[in-house]
Amino acid sequence: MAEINVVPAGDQALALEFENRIDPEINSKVRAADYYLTKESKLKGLLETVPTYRSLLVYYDPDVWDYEELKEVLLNVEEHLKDVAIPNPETLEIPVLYGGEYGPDIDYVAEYNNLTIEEVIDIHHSSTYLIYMLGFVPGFPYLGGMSSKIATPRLENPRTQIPAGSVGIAGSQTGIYPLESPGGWRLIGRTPLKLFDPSKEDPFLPKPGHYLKFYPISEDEFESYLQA
Amino acid sequence: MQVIKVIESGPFTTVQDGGRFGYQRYGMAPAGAMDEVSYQLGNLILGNEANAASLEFTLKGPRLEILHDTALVVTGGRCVVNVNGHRKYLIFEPIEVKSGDQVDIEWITEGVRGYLAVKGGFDVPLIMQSRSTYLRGKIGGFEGRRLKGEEVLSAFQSNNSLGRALPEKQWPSYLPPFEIDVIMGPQVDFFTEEGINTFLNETFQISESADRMGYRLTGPEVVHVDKADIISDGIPLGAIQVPGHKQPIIMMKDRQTTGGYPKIATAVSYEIYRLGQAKPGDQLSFRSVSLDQAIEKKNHYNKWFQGLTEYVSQPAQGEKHFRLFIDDKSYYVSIKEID
Repeated sequence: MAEINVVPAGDQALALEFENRIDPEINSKVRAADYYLTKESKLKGLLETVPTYRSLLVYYDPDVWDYEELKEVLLNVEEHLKDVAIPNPETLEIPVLYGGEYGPDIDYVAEYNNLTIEEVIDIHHSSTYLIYMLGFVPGFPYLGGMSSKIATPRLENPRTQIPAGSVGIAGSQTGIYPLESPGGWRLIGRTPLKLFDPSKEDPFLPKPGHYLKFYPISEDEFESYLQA
Repeated sequence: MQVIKVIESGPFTTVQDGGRFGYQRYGMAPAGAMDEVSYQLGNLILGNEANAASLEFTLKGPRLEILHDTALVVTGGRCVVNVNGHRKYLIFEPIEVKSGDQVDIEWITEGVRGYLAVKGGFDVPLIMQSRSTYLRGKIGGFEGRRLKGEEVLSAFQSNNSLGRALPEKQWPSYLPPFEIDVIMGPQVDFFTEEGINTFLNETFQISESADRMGYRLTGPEVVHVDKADIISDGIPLGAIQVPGHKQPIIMMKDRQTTGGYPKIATAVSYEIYRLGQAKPGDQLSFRSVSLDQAIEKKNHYNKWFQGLTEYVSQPAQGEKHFRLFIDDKSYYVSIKEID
């Protein structure tokens, strides 16, 4: 039996914890447990879950659940999962216009890593990234799987205003800014898609535990996305 | 129906309701009223749904012009409500206002947040099942932002009868120092015994860095065993995280949903409304309770709150309450029909 632990997080939440590592295999357990609780189990009194790298925060109704009872259910979650077919994670495709005014730091990323701009783009969009979790701001995906060949340190002086949709690199991570915000990521491009659109019934494009892949588009394609 | 024009917003005023739930998995904070008790009572006093949208103001309330006859109430932090300069009302007291009336809410003298509820509740768009403003996400409330003045706010139509004023002796108390019950964990094992003792036995002060996201405390150092980083995980409401600077931060309604600092303890749910009224400079200490103790005290809290809601929700049958203003003095008058 794999290492699994449940700890209280106040009187109306608890944390289900798997092995203490950032690892796609562990994250898939989080996703499975989350799927079981939110989609499969039909358990009442579970209010909200927050899947992260290696743990699942579960908000529950203390009028329905005694902590010890819920802990018991969660400690046995892998048992419960044996007979459950968990759908395969999906891959979210994100169009990116690389370089130019939308990716003002791509030259630096190329120079820093002794690559051409085309090589940076190829390396960045040929990986498939695991969305370990969302956090920081609404719709911000924590992605795993970027090639170390394009790893680049953050800006020393963060920009005060980064447009929504900006795609950047910070150290060994890549990410997308869902909202206009300040930040120190090296910007290499921009997506015309809205990662977070509160007017939609399903407001968030990235989903925790799923995958994400970038693909390059031209300026014309970028414009036509914006008009769509 | 347009009911109110905001002339001056006050230092920090947003539209809030009970909160936006179900989206923390996508990085969306629940937001919602910081002091759930006073917020809900305000609505019930006006005969609204407990969860109707209200204005949450900080330090001082807004100055308003009434555009349509309605009723309103101010609840939460202690303050005085002036109508047309000379009519003074208490908090937790329904106020019937007429088109053209000028309403000014004075500075708060106990607590830090007040709620202005209007009959029917404010009519702002429902975004992802809530009307709460979430500033960091730039959504909800009035155009996803705080009020600046000159806004015209609408309210829903309501024919419900008004409830009753809450007598002063029953108002929630927000006097510091605050002793806050906590449940240790989820990462209490990241702290030394000395660190835990400091956390539980010493007094902390709320710093100037205190807003709807969280309160940074100052005080003695809460020492970690080793590093002050965890693999980022979910942050529950009331979580008390301690970064490398060793000063605790209490995470409130607009908190980041995930974070990488160890959480030494989590405030029990019945403490959140009081924390919502704690302000920079207030003294704070923490008391560890077991889950069983927390549940028992939560039951007391629930009964207390239910008592208040039942009291204010009762329409004043056979009773009339009104304000009399004689020579600049204000009188709260109750008349009861006798058989």
